[in-house]
Amino acid sequence: MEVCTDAELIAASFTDPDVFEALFVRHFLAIYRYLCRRVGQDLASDLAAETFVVAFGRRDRFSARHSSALPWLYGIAGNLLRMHQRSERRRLRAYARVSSGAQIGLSAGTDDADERLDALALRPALASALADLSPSLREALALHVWAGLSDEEVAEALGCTSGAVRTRLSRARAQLTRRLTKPAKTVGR
Amino acid sequence: MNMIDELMADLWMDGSVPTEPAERAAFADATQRLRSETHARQQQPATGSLSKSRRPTLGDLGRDGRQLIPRGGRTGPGLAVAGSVLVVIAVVAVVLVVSGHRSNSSHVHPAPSAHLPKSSQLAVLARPQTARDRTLPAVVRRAARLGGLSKQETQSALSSIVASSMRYTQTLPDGREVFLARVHDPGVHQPDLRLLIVTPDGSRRDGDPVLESSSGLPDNRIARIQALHGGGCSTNHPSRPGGGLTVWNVEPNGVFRVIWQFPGQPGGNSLGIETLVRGNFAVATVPGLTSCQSPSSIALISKNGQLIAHTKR
Repeated sequence: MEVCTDAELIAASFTDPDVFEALFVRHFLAIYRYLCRRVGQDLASDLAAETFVVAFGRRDRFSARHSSALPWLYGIAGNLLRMHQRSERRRLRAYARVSSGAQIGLSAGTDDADERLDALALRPALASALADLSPSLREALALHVWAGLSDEEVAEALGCTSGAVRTRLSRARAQLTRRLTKPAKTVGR
Repeated sequence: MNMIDELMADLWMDGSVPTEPAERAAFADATQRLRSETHARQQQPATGSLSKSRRPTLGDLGRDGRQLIPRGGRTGPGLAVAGSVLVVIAVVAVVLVVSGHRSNSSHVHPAPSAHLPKSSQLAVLARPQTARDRTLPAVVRRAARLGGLSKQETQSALSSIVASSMRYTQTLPDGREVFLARVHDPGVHQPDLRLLIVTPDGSRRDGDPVLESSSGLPDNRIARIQALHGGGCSTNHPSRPGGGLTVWNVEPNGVFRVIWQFPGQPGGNSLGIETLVRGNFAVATVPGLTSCQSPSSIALISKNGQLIAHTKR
């Protein structure tokens, strides 16, 4: 059976709009799960639906040279998320507050227990540092790590060059590393 | 893999991992919203091929969900005429399809208009959310505090409101603030689009419940949250000179002015009232009316003065 590419589905949806639903079925869960990681499942449900409604209305702007529509959809979702940056930052800070000091009592019976404890202890600081990261850097890093996009795909989602994406990722990692190597002052803010 | 990437990949917060039922519910909700959008667009002419680009018009959203032309931007006269024609076709279709719709809410007064715009016909929902839109929880909390409602009860009402859907429309002449939002009632699969009318002081007004019981609150004291049925009315506050009625209605995109004609009191002349539409919401004070009643005729007028629809009872 021949499987249509996303570009072919979008092209076909101009004559039969119902075809767009195939694209929705193909990518909804990926977008929804990504949004869950960014803002939690309550808001993610609404934003994921809105992503596809916006995508349907703007499908004439999808470039046919891209076979996969996923980076384009992540781009739309990311721009819808801009209206909820405060929610995302609040969520990260709440996690940082709750998780800091909750690491005592973890089972440490394996050989790599120390490493695991270190990693767990860093999570609140990481969440706090992510909350303080600029939106463009956080977006690039989230698309790369949580959505699993390559530099080129992140560039496609953000509408910039892959060189710019590499710069943003590098800056984001550097800022986070700096924050993790010294005591986190903003936890609990 | 970079250490930061590894740490971040391992960062799981509350709500980051959706349960299977949550995924199914989200999928079903999104499917329905997409289908309604697809069918709404099928009523309009095709927008073009994959490579064809179109000049953006006022209210259009970009590929990213941002507005391409800010409000107040200019459109060419030819484009405006073409847009008006499309709006006329779409709005008349909506009026025809939904005419005759009635709400079964016990708290809803007769509506000025019987037509029910679809959510895709309401630009106020499509525009980006503003800081004013996000004041809804604060407005409700303030009213709840003044009305003596407990924090738990207030939180219960607020938790059902989908935050991303909150939109401020207008403030009624008596100070009540009107919002549109999707409300997800407990036990109900789909969130409903509702009109939320919040009294500034949390008090009851004219015997109306200030918060409909379907929102989950045991006592109706904060805000009337009613089904989006096309409109409503209430008697004005006794302290307002002239008394009369405040009438309001939700109008679809493209409607700039509304003219409501009321039959008036027995033996009296009929009353005509004309009002502007802002944020898909029309509101007016009708001084000669003492009880809520349906208008005998409704005229919807576009920005260029064209009659979009005229219905009579």
